[in-house]
Amino acid sequence: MQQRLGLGLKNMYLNVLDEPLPDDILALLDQLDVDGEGEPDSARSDLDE
Amino acid sequence: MNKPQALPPAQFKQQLTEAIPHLRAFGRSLSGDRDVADDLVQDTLLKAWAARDRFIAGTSMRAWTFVILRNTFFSSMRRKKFTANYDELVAERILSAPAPQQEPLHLADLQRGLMELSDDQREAIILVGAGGYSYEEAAEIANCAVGTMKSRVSRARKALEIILEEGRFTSASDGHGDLTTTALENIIGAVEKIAP
Repeated sequence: MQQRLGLGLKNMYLNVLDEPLPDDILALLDQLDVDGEGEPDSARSDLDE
Repeated sequence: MNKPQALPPAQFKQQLTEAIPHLRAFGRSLSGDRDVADDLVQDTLLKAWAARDRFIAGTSMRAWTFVILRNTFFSSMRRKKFTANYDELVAERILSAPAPQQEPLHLADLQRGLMELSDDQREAIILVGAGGYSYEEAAEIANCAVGTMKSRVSRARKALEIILEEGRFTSASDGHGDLTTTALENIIGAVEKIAP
């Protein structure tokens, strides 16, 4: 059972990796501006929770 | 001593993009729901982008964004923005080829089983058992001691094994109903709905 469980967990994860990215995520990526507009917000605390 | 360097925006975006499939896999395993997971990923991308000057070049973008995603998920769970569930759309997918004399493991059962675990245990077994992270890396993402992570993974494996072997799922994982039922009772119930 442990072997099946391990394989199942890995496959569950890998199945998602193989999926194409949904359109709304691709659209969001397009909005991330690499040319400098929209300065980073160093005050965000999601890394410190 | 050199000051840690932030990545140029274009490189940051490239690494962030490469992390997205893993964020979706982690988010879906954690939440049990495709749409919730993708909402989580979008929140994570926006937060990561806003905090990009805090990412240190040469460190793991995947681990860094996993921290953001799990913090977002657990804080949202507390505010009830997201609820852990399982994805019925994938109910019949078979995850692993059965060994001789064994039933195949279905994704729906595994996802429902994961939802039976505590949040800490679910996160631990996803990171180590599914994502392939070392105990040390997983402990860093979950912000706990390595020994704690090992203990969580061990308990999660044992609990999940028992849940799947006995087919016992509670309302915590099915999103409806309030009785603990066995897989057999579920099947009988489904048949009765079709042919009362």
